[in-house]
Amino acid sequence: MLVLSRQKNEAIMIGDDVEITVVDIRGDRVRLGITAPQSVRVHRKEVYEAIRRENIEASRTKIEDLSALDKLIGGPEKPGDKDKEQNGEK
Amino acid sequence: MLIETPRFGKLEVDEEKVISFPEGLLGFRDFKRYVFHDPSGKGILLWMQSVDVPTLAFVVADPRLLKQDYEVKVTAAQLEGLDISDPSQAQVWVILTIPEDPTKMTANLQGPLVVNPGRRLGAQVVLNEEGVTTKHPVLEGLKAQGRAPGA
Repeated sequence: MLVLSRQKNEAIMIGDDVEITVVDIRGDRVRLGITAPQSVRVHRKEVYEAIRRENIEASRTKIEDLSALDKLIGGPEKPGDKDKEQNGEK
Repeated sequence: MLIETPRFGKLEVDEEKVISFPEGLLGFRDFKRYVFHDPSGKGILLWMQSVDVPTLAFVVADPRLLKQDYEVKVTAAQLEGLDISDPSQAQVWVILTIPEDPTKMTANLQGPLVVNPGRRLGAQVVLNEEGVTTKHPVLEGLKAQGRAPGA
């Protein structure tokens, strides 16, 4: 891993169009400003990891029949509307 | 197209209802095609079945049923690949995690699925704001909203 020292208001460039600026440093908390093209997705790593882990856990469900769960949740105001919307029924 | 699934047996899939997730789901980058399957026809909880991997399926729900004030705040950039010009076109789903005790099921409100049904494109988006979680307790959440489970 490349390790660089930066002070407040200093920045680093990653490639030609990603810029990361140290906006503020307070105690053990650093605020970073990130300028990147729209196609570059920027996330807090722990959030990204949490969603990835949750997807994996969700995919491992052993449940096969959802109707019991439907009852636990209770229906929408007008059952069936969503279904029609979803399936594009005429 | 026929998919032989462990859960539903042979599932006939209309190719025109297949939703493509060009970037897959987080942790499932390689699997990009899914179909919504609603065996009960109630439209409350649905399966999102992978077309590519018959064993892979997620339980999804309309988040507004779970949390009335749920909002997905995303940038135009996050929806760029979905060709959504009008946000009202978009459908939003959240994935449920259902453990052995289903009363402890949780909803991933932090990584919702946004779908453009017209173009049959979808993406899992990452919400960065505080206050949303990957493990929203579904039944407790309903109680907190004054909707008793089973009502």
